[in-house]
Amino acid sequence: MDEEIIALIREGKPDAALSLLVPAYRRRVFGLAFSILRDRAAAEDVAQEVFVKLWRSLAGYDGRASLSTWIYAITRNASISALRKRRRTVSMSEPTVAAEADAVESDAPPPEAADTQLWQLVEALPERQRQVVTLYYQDERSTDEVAQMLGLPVNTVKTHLHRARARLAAALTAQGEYAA
Amino acid sequence: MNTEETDAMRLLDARLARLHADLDTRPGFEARLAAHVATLAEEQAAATQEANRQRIEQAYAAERAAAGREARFDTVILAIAGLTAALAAWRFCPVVLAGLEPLLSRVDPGVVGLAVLPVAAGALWVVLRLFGVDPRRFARP
Repeated sequence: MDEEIIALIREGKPDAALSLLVPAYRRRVFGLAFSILRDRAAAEDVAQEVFVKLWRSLAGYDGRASLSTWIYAITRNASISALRKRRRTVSMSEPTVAAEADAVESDAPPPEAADTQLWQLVEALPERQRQVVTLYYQDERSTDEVAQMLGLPVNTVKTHLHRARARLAAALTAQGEYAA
Repeated sequence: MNTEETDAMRLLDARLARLHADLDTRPGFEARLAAHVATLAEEQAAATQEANRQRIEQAYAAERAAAGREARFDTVILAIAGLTAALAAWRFCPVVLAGLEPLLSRVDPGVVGLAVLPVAAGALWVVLRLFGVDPRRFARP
């Protein structure tokens, strides 16, 4: 798929390239943005922004980095910028508004997944572990792909995943429900 | 890790996969993106058009300024030439007239009048240029 997209970019057809790129990368871009922002609406805004950025800069894609690496880097940067902007807004707001914003920090679980308890445990994980868990389980990705998405070494991702699973299992055991 | 733990981990994996499976954009994401991109493309096209219009306007203004400078230069040259001619006429008129007397006495006064016309036209040209009017434009269709 990436080869096809790159061929369209080289032919100077950014619109056609985008029409292939969006379905191929939508879930990955959204997942990566969500793993950083923990807010569905903000992640969707970032995903829109990322695809618009891609559409604008497709003509300048030189193929030095792989297409996916390039897209993930843009997504991470856009997500981090959005996160910084949100934190700045919160810090400048009144206490009540800030409290509301804090409540949004951790988004509700997907409506179809009623496993609120497990969702809360995932949300309580350290940031990196939470990101790895989200990306690994969103589409049952390989640790290699998660590493590429987060720009981390594969072994680091494996370590985070291992620790996160152990922590979740321990927490569920403590709650008298061992992952069942 | 014993079998019970392995099974439990497998169950945890399944629960986590279920929990994250629906993590996706709202329906209509692609349509919203397409609309957004279309709007941006229109804005970009309008901006390009405006930039082109401004570039043409600037080029036209520069051309007009260059023509103005050229016209002023022409005017100065013509004025100097006219002044030189007038001074020469004032200085050498008696001598020239004395020299031309035998010739002029044989030429019809009407012909002399006609010969004066180009001189008058040249003077008019100088005057028009002094007032910023390009006399050549009267010759254009």
